[in-house]
Amino acid sequence: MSTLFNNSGTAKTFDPGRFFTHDAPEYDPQTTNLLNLSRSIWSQSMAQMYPIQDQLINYAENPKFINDQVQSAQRNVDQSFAGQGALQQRELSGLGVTPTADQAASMQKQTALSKGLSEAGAMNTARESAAQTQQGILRGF
Amino acid sequence: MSGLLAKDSETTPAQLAITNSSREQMQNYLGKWLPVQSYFINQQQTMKGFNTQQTRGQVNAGVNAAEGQALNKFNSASGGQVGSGRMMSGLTGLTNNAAMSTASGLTSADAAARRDYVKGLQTSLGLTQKTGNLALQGMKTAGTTQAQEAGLAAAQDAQSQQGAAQIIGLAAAL
Repeated sequence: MSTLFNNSGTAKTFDPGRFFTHDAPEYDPQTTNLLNLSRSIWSQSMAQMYPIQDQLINYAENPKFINDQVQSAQRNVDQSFAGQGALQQRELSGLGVTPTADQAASMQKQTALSKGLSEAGAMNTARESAAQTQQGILRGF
Repeated sequence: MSGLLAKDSETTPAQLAITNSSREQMQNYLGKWLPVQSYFINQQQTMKGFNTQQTRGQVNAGVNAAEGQALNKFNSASGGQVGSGRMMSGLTGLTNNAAMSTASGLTSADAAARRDYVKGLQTSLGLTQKTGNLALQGMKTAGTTQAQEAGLAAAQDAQSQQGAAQIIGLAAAL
């Protein structure tokens, strides 16, 4: 007999010998469904829920997160000014103009000031929004 | 209805309704919610990079369009001053402004994309937890109802055995 209870399924026909066998237990359909569902939820958690949790925890607790965003903002500024510098050169070449040394120095100074302002703004924005994201994860958006 | 230990026993209409609704909840979870959830989460993970790039592209396109118009006006206005200090300064100011707008726009776009992504993660997490718990709760409710039935059947069984034993005892005494 492989079940804890025999086919009539009542406590009256309880089979104590079941405790001394190595057969896998057979549960009633309800218990089997509950077991299967629990397993399904567990595997779902392992596959999807826990990786998401890990990502959120990493966003919320990673001490490098804010600095990474600030550096990313710095890269945005560098790329934007490099792109515009090239465009400026193309524009001047198109017009057949070469700046004098004084003009070039003045243009560089003007660009350096603008770039400094842009860096400060972008880095502040990145720092603030990264901190807000971290707080948002912890307390909800 | 057969339960954990049950023989046939009566179920009240309310119990039956709860059991059926709980089963439907579980079936709903497995058959409908789980695939939708998985799709949502997969989409969110796959689209992460795409959404960021799309937003950055929109920023670049917007600045480039505005800058193109400004350059056209600048070229037509500075026709007689090509090579002058004023023209150089004007051109530098124009391209610097465009660079500042792009950098600021890209940084904001990155931040917005990241915030949306994190919000999506929270939504996904909430969905998986909530629907999983609902399904499990539904299944447990159905199980409890059946266990109650089983308990009732076992109690009736024990009662009838006790009655029979009393009758046998009485008969033996006589």
